[in-house]
Amino acid sequence: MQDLPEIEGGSAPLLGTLTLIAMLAGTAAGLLLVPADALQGSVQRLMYVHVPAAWLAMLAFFVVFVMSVLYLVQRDPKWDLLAVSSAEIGVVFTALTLVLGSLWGKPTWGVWWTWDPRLTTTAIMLMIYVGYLVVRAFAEDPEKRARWAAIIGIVGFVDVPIVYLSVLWWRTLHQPPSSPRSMAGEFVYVLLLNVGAFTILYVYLMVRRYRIAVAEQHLDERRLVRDDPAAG
Amino acid sequence: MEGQASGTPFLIAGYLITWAVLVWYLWRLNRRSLQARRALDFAGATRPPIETQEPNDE
Repeated sequence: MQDLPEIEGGSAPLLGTLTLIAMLAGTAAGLLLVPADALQGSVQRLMYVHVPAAWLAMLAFFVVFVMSVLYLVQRDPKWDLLAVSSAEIGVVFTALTLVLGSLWGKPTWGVWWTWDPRLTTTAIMLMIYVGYLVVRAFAEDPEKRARWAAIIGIVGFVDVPIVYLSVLWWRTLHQPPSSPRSMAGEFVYVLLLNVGAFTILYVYLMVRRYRIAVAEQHLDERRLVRDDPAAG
Repeated sequence: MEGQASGTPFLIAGYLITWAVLVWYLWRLNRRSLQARRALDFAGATRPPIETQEPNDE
């Protein structure tokens, strides 16, 4: 059984404050500081939330992959709890990425959605990790649940680099990855500020979600012992 | 310029949705955290072990 950490308190309030400041600074810079794009106008400012949200989702799924490998090697429940925490955050931000992309696509491409390789592979990525969470919800035995989830966490990660490379591999409507070479300096700084803010946000959400996962595991184990005293 | 102005509602919607998702997810984490805390308190899991509790003179 994991040691029971504080569910609230500890470093979380300080990290939460830092996250809020970083997110507010990123939003202010994206909306007010940086000039509008010459061709797309103000809607291009969606880049400062769309790209960081996509970055956060991919980071989260990479962490799921690493934690899943560690779980299968060491069978320590800690890795499984970190994996599920990261998967849930990744699903939330993948869905947000798709919504923001759709809002950006309508005024620039003229459509809310198209079966473009980048969009399609991202939707598949969302389905894979929703499946990961659904499988966990249906498996009652904690060890089987962790093992199946770890396998999905490893196999499912195959789609993540495909999502990233899809704009290079296929002819797509979606633009290639944004980089300092393809953007003016002030755009790059604001984008990096927002990527940094979303990365701090990810760490904060992970701390909060992992603590809940540990507490819920304690409760599950207590229920198992109560229902079947031989299991304790 | 007309095309640029027409994108503004999409921009506002995008930022509002982003912050709404953040607030919703934090609210959800807070609620789950509170539920877990209550359940653990009810189960006695968060109380210190008997031997580490302060002696009661009364």
